[in-house]
Amino acid sequence: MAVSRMRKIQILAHKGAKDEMVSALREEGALHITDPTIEFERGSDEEARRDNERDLQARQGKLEHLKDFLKPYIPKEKKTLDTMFNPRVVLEPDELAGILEGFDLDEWYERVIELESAMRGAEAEIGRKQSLAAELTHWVGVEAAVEELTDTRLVSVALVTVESSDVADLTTELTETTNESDLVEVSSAGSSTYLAVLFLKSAESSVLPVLKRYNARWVNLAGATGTPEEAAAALMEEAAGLRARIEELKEQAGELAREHRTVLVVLDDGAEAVAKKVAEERFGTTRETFLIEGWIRGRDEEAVRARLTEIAPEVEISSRDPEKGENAPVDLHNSGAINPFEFVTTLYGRPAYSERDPTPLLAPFFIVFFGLCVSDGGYGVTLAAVSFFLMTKMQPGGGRQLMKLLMMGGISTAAVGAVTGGWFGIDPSIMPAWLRSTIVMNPLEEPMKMLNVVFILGIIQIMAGLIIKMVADFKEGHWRDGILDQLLWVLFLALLVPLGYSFILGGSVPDGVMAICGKGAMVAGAIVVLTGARKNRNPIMKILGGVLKLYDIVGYFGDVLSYARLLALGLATGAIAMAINGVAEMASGIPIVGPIAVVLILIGGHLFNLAVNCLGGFVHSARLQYLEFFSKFFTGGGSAFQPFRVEKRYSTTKRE
Amino acid sequence: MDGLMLGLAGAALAAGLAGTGSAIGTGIAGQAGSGVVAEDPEKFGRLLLLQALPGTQGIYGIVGLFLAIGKMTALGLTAMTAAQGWQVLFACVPLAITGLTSGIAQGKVSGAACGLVAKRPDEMGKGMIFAIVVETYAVLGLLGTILLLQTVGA
Repeated sequence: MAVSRMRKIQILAHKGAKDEMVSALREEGALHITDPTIEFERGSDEEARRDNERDLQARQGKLEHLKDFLKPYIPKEKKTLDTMFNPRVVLEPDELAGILEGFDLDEWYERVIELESAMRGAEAEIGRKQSLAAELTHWVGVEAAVEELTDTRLVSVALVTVESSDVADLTTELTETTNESDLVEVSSAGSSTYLAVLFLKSAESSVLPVLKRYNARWVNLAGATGTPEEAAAALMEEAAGLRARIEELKEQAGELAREHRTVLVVLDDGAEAVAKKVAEERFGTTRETFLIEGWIRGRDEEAVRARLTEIAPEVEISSRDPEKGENAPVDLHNSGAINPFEFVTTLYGRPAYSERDPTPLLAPFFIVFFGLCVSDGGYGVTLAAVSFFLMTKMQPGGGRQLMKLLMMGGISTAAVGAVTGGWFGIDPSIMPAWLRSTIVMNPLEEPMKMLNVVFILGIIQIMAGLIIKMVADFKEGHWRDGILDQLLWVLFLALLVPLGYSFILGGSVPDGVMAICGKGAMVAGAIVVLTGARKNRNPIMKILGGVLKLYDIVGYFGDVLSYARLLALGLATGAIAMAINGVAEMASGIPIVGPIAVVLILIGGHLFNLAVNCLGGFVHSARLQYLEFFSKFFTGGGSAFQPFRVEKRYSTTKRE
Repeated sequence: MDGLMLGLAGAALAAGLAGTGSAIGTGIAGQAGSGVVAEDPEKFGRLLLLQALPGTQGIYGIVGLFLAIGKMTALGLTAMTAAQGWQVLFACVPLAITGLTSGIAQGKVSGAACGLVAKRPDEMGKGMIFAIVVETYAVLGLLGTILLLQTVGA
């Protein structure tokens, strides 16, 4: 129920058993591999390993290419909830070997590259034909066949386009320049005019510069035969033929894509092979043996030892507890109900190996705070129901833990909603009596009362933090620190609470209590001044530091104020819910579409409010743990336990 | 009549300025997010979450607006005196100012967190915490407005 016990383990074995052992370790998923503490020479082994890794990576690259190519052609299947949440390929236990055996990557790859280049070629050809056909439509006026519009022995033909506004000038200038040319306007479209310019080859040197000066664009009709009209029609027909060809190719791709699961399975298997090769880089090797060092959870050690010994009876395995100060990786291990809260802890960081896991400590606070932030019974029930439903559909893993967390949050929210009378923002006065009977206070009407409640919760959590630190100090034998830095402050703060309630919030506290607390706080404060800087050697600083230590009160005061967010977020939920209902009521006045609009506004609005408040409730509840709670006792800084384990993205194998 | 006008000005400022803060803030974070998605589209979901963080100020603004309207309705709307109007207006100020400023600041932090997610996706939680620290002041601003509205008209 805390940080898992770690053992440092060394596995020394003969190279012959390496592959089998690495596979076994990966399946067990229990070893966090580290660099060997002994220096090894990196010999030819490393080079071979690297080559091997490169080959495997290249193979993965091809497989990725196959996967990406096939993706758009995968036949549509009816989506069920199960396939939506578990889109991975599910294999029978003995299916994998057969699939790998029957898969020929080179054949697949060749086929796909062929399809791809054929498709790309056809697309490009269609583009060319279409643009040529489009160009031809401007030359329909020419009654000759296109292939005849070429130079003869003496005459050149230039088919050009120029700006329509330039045609008149161009014509004049051309006539002025030479009388050995002729200019025919074929058509004009937009601001361009299409011209056929005929001239004697001998006049070329005087005609071309004029055309260029008017920015004439030469038109290329190569590839077209017959009159422009016929040619365009023929080209379009050819393009249609090519399109049909592409459809055919797509169908072939679709055929291949039917088997896309095979590619995914092989891809997964390849990734595993790469990961194993990459891990081997950290092994120490000699001529005949290899050494793996790493961390293993105490509870897994026996199973791994047994399995490795079974593979290679001569394997040498030694293990020991971490030495003091050694940075063992941290794996959190908590029971079912607390487990999802590890997500909250690890979002911030992990405890140091020697430290206590704060997860069980923050769990009750977190869940209550979340409930206060979302604070609507209707939302709570909805959230709990939806997340429970999703949880049952999901595979074990991070997502499922989050759903479990949200489900608990939903239950907590429903409880808070019942107490505060928040049900979808409906006015409590029109609710049935049994719903009203659970209401203790309505924060919208009595925010000050609710503010006191959240402040008290904050004070409880802050004190809990101090007490946790005190217990940790006592355990380590730091009795003086535990008493003077934590216990004293718990008492001091407890005495200050009634004073603060009276002076700052204007609450009424019996005079007798005030007097006792006042005197007690003075005594506690005096002890703080006298002992606060006891570790300082300078005698003047001992007193001055003690006085400064009193300023910590400001810090604690700020911490408590920070819990006011619970009230603010709770009120925000209720206020927005009411606003949504208000808008829906206004919409109900619209004729005909009114009822539909009301339903849409109510469902959409409340779902939006629920989503926004869940996000807000989650992050703000988490923040209170991190900044107000953890700061009292938690150091953190542990590195994550990252076991060497099977990590398949696209497929899973059924358990036998 | 004067009283209602002033009160409405307060409610409008709360919703308008806090909404502006969110608009700018989510805008900043959204720009950063798009840049990251260009490199890695799979991170879209997480980045959207980061972009949504500075969106809360706008919601707080609307909450303030509704609470102010509720208060003014209780005071009889047109029956409000000028003094009550000023009171509502001033009560809305904390939310308006903190909503505007914290929304922008939080947007910048969220935008930086997008960069964090781009390089170290596992550390997203920490980026969110940085952004949430900024939001504290919008929450406190809302709380200030709620508490101040309580005192109006006494």
